Amino acid sequence: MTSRIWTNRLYLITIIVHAFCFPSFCQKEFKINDLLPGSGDFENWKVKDSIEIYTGENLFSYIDGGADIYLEYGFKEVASCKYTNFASSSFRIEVYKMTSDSAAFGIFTINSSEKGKPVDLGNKALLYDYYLDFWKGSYFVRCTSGQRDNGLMDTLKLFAGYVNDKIMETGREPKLTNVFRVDKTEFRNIKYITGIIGLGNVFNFGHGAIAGFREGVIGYSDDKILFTFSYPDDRKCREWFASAKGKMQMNQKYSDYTQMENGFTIKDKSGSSFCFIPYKRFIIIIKGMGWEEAQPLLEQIRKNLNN
Amino acid sequence: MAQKINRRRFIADTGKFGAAAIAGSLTLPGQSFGSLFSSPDIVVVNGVNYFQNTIRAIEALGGMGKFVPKGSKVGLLINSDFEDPGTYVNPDISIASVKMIIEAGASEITKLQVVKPEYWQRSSHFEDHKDFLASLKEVSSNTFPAEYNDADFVKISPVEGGKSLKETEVVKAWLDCDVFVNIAIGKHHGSTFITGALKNIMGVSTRKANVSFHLGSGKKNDPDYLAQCIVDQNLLRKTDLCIADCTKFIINNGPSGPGDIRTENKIIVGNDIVAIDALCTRLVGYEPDEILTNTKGFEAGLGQLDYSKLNVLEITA
Repeated sequence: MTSRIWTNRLYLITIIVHAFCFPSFCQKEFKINDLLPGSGDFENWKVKDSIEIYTGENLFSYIDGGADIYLEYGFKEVASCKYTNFASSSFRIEVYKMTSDSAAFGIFTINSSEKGKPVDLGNKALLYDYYLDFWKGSYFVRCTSGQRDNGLMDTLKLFAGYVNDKIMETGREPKLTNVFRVDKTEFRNIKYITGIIGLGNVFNFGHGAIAGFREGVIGYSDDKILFTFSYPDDRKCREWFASAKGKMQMNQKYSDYTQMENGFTIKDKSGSSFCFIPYKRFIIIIKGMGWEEAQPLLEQIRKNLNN
Repeated sequence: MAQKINRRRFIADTGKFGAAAIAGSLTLPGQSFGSLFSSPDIVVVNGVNYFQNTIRAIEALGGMGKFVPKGSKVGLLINSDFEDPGTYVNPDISIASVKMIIEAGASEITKLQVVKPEYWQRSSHFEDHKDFLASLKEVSSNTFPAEYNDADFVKISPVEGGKSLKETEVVKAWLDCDVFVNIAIGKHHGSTFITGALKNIMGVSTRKANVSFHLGSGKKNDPDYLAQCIVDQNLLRKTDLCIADCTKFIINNGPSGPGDIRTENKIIVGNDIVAIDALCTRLVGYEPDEILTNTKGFEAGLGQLDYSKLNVLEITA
């Protein structure tokens, strides 16, 4: 009896030791393709060919020409799979593992437009005519149908829900987005960027005018656009601000340069005013407001940046 | 991203080239109306019958025979390999172009990049023309992501006149053909902001060469280097005829999409590749000099950035 108790205890200790020292003993190793449904997970739908996986710079072998922006944000790997049914309808799901929540949020925002309808999925999701995007944790997920068929879109949502449930991460928007928490002004269509390719996809200040930033956010409110760029430190920010000032003055698309106490204003050819303001390690740019008019908004932005 | 452009409309009687134009406003910003009485440098046709309008456009330019001598070997590069709407050349345009090339008396037409059968099948004109489409030759190894082989590709080093591009690997048939016809779509591109005819040239090079355009400078993202490489590769072989699809195209999330689609219903033809790209740029929503491939292409002497200096004929079908 005593011998059996000790034998059982020995078995138990062995199992516990394996569980801690060899996690694979208890848990299957996670692979990105585990997030995707397989053939048979949904009735009538099966995987066409196989799941494709690309990592790092091999993304150029998957996305014909548009990989740069993913690498700029920080990209790890993608799993892509096409599904078909007996009626030869098809759609594709792509699961991008980015290097951080912020990167996933960023690639989600750069791909988004105001034509998307919010749906309840992940951290945020948008449904378009024939595709659906969402981000969750460090994942960006795109589900694309070949046809604008409402029945197919319902299936797409089901599959997207499957992937969403498999992603265990939560995720937060970058702190810099707090800049938009402003009374009486709602900013929409927020873009989060981490480099000049992202910026060029949103707004063009002129070649090299705004650069050197670590991250930036852009938000739209009526006819105003608010840009906030974050630099490594105050000194770098001042240097880049001086560079921006010089380039904007030389750019023939802009005129009416006016030096202000803490910044400058300039106008584009349509007469829209831009206010450029350096603040600590941030450069704030407001399009669509004059200097005096912008001050109350700036005060709130500075407060948000201090927090 | 896209800035709203003010437009003026210009309407002419398309069936009677040479008739007096009805003076009016223009659809193309910054463009004074082209003369119907001198040979146009660029023709823009507006309308929804893309097949017929491609034919109209080329006829107004002087006819396909002006570019494709009888018996010549034609190399054809069609931006066809994407799947989402607004990301590939409308196949009606491609089929009309091929029809005109055959009628002009080309002895051989080679697709310089693989064009999948399903691409042609998207066109309502496919059935009527499938026989001659099937007769087209193809560089079958040039399919994304293309790998070098001695049979179909040639390594070029150095690239003569190349400022950034020192070596590349391109399809032999592109260099060898008598006439090169570049059928591009003007649309958004995430790295170069727009892609048109200049960037379409990346369709004749291998994946290895193309990745070097993106990463070869040593910096992870170097749009300047990328644009210069594109222009440098264009120096290897002039585009003899450019046909640009500006009918329906994505204005974000390019080049693969999916993205928001803008409808302009324009087909633009000519042999000034920079001017055509400049026109496409405006339609996508940028200023021509905001796009590095345009400015570098102009600096390299590939064409005219300011298309208002050219005779641009715009017709509404």
